[in-house]
Amino acid sequence: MQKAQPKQRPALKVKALPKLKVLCTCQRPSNCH
Amino acid sequence: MVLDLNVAYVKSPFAQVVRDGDSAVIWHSLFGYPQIVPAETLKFLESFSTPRTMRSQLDDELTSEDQEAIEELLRCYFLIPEDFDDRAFLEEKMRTREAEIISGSLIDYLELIMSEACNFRCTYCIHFNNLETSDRINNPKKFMRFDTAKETVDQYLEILRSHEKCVAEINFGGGEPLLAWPVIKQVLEYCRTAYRSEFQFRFSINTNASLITPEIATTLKEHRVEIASSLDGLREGNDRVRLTKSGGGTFSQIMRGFDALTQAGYPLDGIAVTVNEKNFHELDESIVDWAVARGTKNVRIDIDVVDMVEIPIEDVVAKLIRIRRYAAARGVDVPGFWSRPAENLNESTLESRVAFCGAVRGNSMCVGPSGNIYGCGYSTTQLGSLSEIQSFHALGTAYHRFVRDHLTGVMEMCKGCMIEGQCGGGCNITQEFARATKTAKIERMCDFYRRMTQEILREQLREATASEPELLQPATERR
Repeated sequence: MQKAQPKQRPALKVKALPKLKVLCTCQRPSNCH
Repeated sequence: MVLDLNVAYVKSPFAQVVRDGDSAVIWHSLFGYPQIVPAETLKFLESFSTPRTMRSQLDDELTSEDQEAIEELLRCYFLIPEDFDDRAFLEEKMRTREAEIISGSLIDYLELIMSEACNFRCTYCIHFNNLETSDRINNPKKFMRFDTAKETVDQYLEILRSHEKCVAEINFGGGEPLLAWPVIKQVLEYCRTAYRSEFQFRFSINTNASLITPEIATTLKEHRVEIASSLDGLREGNDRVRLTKSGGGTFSQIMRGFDALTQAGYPLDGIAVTVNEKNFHELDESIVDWAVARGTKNVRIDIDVVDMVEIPIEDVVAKLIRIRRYAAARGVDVPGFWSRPAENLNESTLESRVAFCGAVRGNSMCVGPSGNIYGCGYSTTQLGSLSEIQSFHALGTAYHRFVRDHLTGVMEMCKGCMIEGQCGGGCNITQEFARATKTAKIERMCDFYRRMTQEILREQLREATASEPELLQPATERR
């Protein structure tokens, strides 16, 4: 049986982006822009 | 979604991409799910710009790695069946959240607006600027009385109790809350005496620090009151924008308060820096050096970008990214409102209640000296009153409508934005102020948040690929 030819295309990859650090939300100055 | 090789899939119109070198971050602008992909995988995704089957795109058997990657693209809704309607799916999901809004189960944060007055008159102050657009500025009751605060605390804790919650967050806000310090002290003692066995309290205060005496510092420490305070740069930058009522600088007064906290063994963890056109040019890495020298671990920088019409947004973005990098190398975090959309990518809107802030998420009740309730302490939109607090969250109330109208995907002006689900319209007070004055340049805020989000994602991508270089390697050639 004939083997399939190796492909040049790299494997597909998906990886979760590391989570961003979130600081305390109570630090809310008197400006909201 | 389960992979079917014979079903036609298409790239979601909501899939957003930020590239950097040979890799990219993709996210869904309604649902989130940020993922890193190498260029080859991005090319594969983009080959579905029109509907086609997997079989047509993959001419031989899938490796397990391919299969996992494709399943991730489907799970994150980057690839969707051609008849899938992302927005209709979101709307259906959001409808299921109505019940929790009207039950009051979202409420977990009480702000007592201790004082409508302030001993400072900062040039950018949204509290005063926004209040001046409504009748709230004319309310004769400027200071919270203990009987109003006590009644509010009792009613708030009753709401928490009815949802079997035992953590009670209480914030003291203003104006300058320390103008009503004796009442704050009474509230702290009342909570401890009356409720300590039932609730775990998390107190916080937003103060300009100028009125902190050694005695106040000691009491704040005793009750573990988390302190949010601002310093708008070093002396020169701060004193351009943070003024006393008579127009003098405030740097020395603020530092006296900070020092009182340090001497009480309760130093600040972080500061907030507010920047507008007047002190933008003074803003640089020296504020980070100042924080490092004092052992302060975070320097929040908020930009009054809506009014900074003279400074190009790209200059603001470049400076913030530069300072953020400098701070990161020294163990200091530099967030701001501009990092909120990127932070909100940590959770999916389909699984969590993602919103710009606790007010629009429905978490907050802010009660003023007259017993009026607002979603945010700086808001002019009254959502209820203390006399009817137990029905505050009921069907058809202002609170119900306010929270419902801020659910993901509802705001008309946000439709189609690349961070629609993550930003959710930004700060509601900025929106209120813009509506009232018709002068604020909201589109500048939108542009700024979009650019900052993309730059933060690029930074995250670089960090991730630097620490894990195999992410980009064509590890296994398919066989």
